[in-house]
Amino acid sequence: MSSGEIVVNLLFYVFAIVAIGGAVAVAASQNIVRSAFSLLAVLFSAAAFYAFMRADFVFAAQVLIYVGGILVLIIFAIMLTHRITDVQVSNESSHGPASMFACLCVLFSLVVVIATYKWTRSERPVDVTVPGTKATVSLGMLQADAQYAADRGTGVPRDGMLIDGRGWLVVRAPDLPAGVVAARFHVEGGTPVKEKESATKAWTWKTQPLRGADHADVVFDERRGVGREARLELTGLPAGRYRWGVSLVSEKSDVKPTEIARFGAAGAGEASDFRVEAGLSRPIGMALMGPYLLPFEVVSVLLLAALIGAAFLARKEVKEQR
Amino acid sequence: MNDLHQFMFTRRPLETLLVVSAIIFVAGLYTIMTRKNAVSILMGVELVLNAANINFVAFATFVPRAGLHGSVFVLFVIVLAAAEAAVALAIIIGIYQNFGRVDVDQADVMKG
Repeated sequence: MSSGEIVVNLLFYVFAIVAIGGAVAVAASQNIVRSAFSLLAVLFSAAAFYAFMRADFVFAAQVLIYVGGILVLIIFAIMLTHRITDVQVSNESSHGPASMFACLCVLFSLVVVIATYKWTRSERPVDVTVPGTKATVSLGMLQADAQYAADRGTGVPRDGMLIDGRGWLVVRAPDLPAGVVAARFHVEGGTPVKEKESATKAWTWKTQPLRGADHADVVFDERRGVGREARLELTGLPAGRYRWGVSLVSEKSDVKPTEIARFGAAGAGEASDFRVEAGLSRPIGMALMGPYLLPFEVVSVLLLAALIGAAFLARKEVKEQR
Repeated sequence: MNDLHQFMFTRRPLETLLVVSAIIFVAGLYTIMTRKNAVSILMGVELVLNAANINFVAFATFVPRAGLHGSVFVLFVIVLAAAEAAVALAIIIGIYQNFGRVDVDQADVMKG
């Protein structure tokens, strides 16, 4: 386990403990002001979880709206409805043991479901026929919204999305042809170039340096339960469109590497295999202005209704006092 | 050491996040069930909504072909939570002006 992984685990568990402790304090504290500030800890920890999942836009929205808006509103309501003197024991509870039993039953069933269900991994293997054997190639990523090119019969994941330019390419094979020792990965990046004459976009593809070279050879490892695996970690790719290819390298230098996945295998030479986004903000903005446009507008109307309703409910009744 | 890996966030991120959010959800449920103070009940609702949000983003991030839908839906949930909190707190302040307290078992005028 690398040192970075240890740090991520430690930080995650610190935030998990803060979140769970805060949630328990909200449920159990006798002082309502203390409950409100425990809620602050839970909301900040939830924001930290979003950061762990690289959902940067959701992280910002959580901090701005939940912590900056809703929590301040709740604290205002506490201050408006309680005198400072009776804040001390202001948070009675009832039916404690029965509710505790019911809640622990719910928690038990949730944890059993989570622990026993076989959640699918974010690696999406695609079967690719290699002469003489059968290997699988997958492009691992976060926020995978890919459509398989397998639908088109080419067997390479297409139009996936890597947030932050981080992901991995994996070749897995239960058995390989004799003499194959390594997988050779190529990655090309493209930028759109506007052609004056034609309306279609043309792409110029540039070989991306992998570990300082124009390609990377990864030696196959033995993995328990998988067979042999070659994994290339992708980090620091700049935003843009990419395509990739893999070939199998033989131990004899005079044997030509066997190609198992090709550049632009999706079909047309301009198609990309995956794209890299600098963060979640641009994809979310595109989604809100595209397929989610109607819910977005409906929510804005609902916010207006809530604003008017809240102002109407909280206004002072003056005409009765005349 | 191999057994320890089962509980590592970096090895099994989806399961660890789901367990944490399940605990937050249950704490919110307990708050809603036991509290008499209306503002406390609202805090329990916020806990439940946050647990659901963590689940949405976790599934969107770690489940293949889930896409962005979870992350976008979380934004709608946050907006709805803000609207709900504003209206609920206005109602709570109205109850306080009429009854002098905000305990939910006191406001039973509409009880048949």
